[in-house]
Amino acid sequence: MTQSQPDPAPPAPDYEDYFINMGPQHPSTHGVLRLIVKLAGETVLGITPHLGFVHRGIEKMAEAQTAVQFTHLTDRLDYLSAHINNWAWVMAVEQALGVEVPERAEYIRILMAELTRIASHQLWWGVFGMDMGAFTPFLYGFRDREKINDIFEKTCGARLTMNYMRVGGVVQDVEKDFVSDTRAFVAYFRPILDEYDTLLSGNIIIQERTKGVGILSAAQAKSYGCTGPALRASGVNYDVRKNHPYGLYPRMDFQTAVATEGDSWARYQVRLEEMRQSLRIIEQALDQMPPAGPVRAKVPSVIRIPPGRYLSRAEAARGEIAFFLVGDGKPTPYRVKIRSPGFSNLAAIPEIVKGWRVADMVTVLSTFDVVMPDIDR
Amino acid sequence: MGNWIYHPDKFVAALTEWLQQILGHPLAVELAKMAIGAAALAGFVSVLAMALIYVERKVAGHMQQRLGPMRVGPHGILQTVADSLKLLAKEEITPADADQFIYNLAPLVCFVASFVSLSFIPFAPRIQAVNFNVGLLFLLGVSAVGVLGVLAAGWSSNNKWSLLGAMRAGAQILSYELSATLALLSVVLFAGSVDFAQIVESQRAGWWIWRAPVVGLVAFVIYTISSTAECNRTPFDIVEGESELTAGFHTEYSAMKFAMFFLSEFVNIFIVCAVSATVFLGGWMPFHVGGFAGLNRCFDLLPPWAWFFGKVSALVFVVMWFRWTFPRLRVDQLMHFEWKYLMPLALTNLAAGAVLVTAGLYLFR
Amino acid sequence: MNIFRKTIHGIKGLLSGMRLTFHYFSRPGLVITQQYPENRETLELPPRSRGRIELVKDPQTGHFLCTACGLCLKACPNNSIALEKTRDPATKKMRLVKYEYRFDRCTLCGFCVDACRFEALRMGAHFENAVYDRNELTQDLAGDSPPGAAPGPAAGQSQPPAPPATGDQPAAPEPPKGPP
Repeated sequence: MTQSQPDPAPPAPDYEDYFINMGPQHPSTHGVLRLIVKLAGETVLGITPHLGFVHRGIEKMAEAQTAVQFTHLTDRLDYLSAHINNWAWVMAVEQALGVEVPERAEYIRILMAELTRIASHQLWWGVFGMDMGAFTPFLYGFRDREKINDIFEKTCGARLTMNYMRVGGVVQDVEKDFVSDTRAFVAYFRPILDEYDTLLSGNIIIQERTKGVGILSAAQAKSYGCTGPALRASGVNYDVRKNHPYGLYPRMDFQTAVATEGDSWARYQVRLEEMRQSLRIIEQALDQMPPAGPVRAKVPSVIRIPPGRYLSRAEAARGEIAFFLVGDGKPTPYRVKIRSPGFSNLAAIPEIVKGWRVADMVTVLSTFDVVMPDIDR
Repeated sequence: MGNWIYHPDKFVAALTEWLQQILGHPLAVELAKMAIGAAALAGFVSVLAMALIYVERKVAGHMQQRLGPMRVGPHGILQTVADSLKLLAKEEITPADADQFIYNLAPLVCFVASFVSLSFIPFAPRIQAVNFNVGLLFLLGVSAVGVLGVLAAGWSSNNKWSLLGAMRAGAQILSYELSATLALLSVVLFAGSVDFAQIVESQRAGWWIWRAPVVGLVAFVIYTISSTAECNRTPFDIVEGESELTAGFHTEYSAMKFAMFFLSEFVNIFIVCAVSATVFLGGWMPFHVGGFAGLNRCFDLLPPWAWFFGKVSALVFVVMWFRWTFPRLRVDQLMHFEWKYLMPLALTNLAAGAVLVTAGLYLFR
Repeated sequence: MNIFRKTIHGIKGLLSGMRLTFHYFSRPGLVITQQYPENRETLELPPRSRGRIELVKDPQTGHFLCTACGLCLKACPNNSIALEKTRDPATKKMRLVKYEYRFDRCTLCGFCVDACRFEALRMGAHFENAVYDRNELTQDLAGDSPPGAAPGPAAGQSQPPAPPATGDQPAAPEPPKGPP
């Protein structure tokens, strides 16, 4: 069929453009995002995102919570990468206090983080299919995500806002079935990825709708500060796990998924590849994890954050999440600034959808995988 | 009674006789028959739509590894009944600046187009609501009137999203109408008539899908694709585009008006599958293998209308299968596919069909 | 003929997608739906599930293990816990009078259970907590028949079904069953 391309010529002079409101409530805005779209016929001339519908003042709340209490709010930032957000926050506090985390806890953290990454991408895949019009992948993605949720529920007690990490380690050790459940999941999910390929990647309709659509050049991505799969699909090999390693990632052997075209197809493929690499990391972590050991370092019962500025960064499913913590000796932080990956990714979208059609706008939004609570905080 | 099951036309004859006894005047009998026919068709349409919606939900459920409706009635059989009652009781919300007359007229136009189209289909030998000698032509024309309803709905809703959906619908349905007609015409060449009853009769020696070598199969595939587009079904449901436009042209409709659109969509599916079954798969003709009289008698155990509904059900299942597997095409890709791929193919197919008919190169002539 | 090959390849992709959905359609045994209200008898939640918190009673004495120290109160991020305590004239120790738990504020984070040094708090597995009146969400867990606090084992193990809520709580529509 046709090679997707933006409308080559500007619309005719007698074209009247009109505005359409892709309102806060919409099936495809991935959360509560308001987009004012300027259209000429079906061609998008420009979009203006309006944010703030899910703003809960999390950074302000941080100033009234102790360092320990704030962990449960980090779950609710990008709720699909809950464990990773937790980890980034407790890393900042551990950096401030100079606490060393036991080895077993570090391995558990990596396992939880990679399982979260896979769960987030599973949901993304399902929602991507739904945005493209195929309703079945949504159910398949959630079916597989349920398995990860069950693993989380057995160990952490909750399926979405796990609140499992603490300063100095994790809350409690993994329960007895965790290792066998996780190994079973890895064995189950590897062939399922081929099923995903059959249903969406191998489908010519998906290929025609995503190849060449919404190209984000490396220079644009870097100037907007995009991170995560959106950046890596444009050819920039930047992954916080490799460039600024944290935890025990230096011990893990995995490859960063990079593509060069920067179009929606590349972003799609990068995320699928990331799922495969996460499975590898999980296997290695399960093999290397010490069979027993402490999972929580000793920290003072009232944690006072030493005066100073601390930065921690982690690779969430959507990109780099960073916590900038300013302490002044009190148990509550003076300031917490959260660098959210979605905010920078969303900023790049208005530029790259110009000239494409309404359906392509949905494709681009979907492959950027924006999650509004992350952006609005 | 058993005779009536296998020969429903005898039931109609008996009914006519009974009416003749009661009413006497032939015109009155005709009018009474027309009234009964219309009422029967209306009843059939309602039950059909409900059944199809239920089947769609169940098929969708099982393809997605879940169950579908299970609570209302055993295995959720009464779910659509409950939905219909709910829609009847709902409040009709009309947008303030909507064009009231057209807004109210649009669902009616869609529904009438579907309903009238149903009257031409032969369900069994000599069981047709309307015996029309240019049935196929007329059906194609009437089902195209549905587009007007869609356009009217999109425009009168005073909603830019609905307008987008309606504009897409206009372009899409008109374009795919062409391929569909050309595919059907290929078989009309072989059958020699546009009368549905004649087309079915001409397939006594074999169904056109395999009796017209290659041409029949290609025409069948083209018709299936085009008719899926006609019904605004995935992969061609950019008109509704649930992920983009929420509900496209019928976003602003609620309660019974929405029910009209919904109903007409499912009746349309039935109609296109019925036309496909009639033209390509022999309609109510059972599958006979020439020379095997015993085998043919086994096939004849199933009454003709059961054959018809079986074929239509299989085709409807395929259409639903498409919906729950494929993503949707973008509107320009859709138009590109039709004008640059499907229509040239359909034209070529028609030409090839003409060559085959003139040369007599088809099976069992 | 590149276009020909591309068409065949495309059709093959579409057909294999259809085969996958038919694979699941033709195997109704693979259905993963749980018929929820009907399967309450067999529904088993993992022991660590975080539901509404409960006070644990000492199996021998039948009294609450809670010493009203207030650590949970300090640990809670949003003031979902309030305590009322009194000094017992006999033992000269602090005794719990009222343990007010505001479920409408609780985020089920588990910090209170984490902070308690006496293992007197447990996160129960009750998830059927919907009420019609918001005032019912403010509960006294130390009342005569507090919801969910059954005499039984401490956190981490399965518990017998909870008795129906009575006393200062209006009767719940159905007694929620804990994990068997």
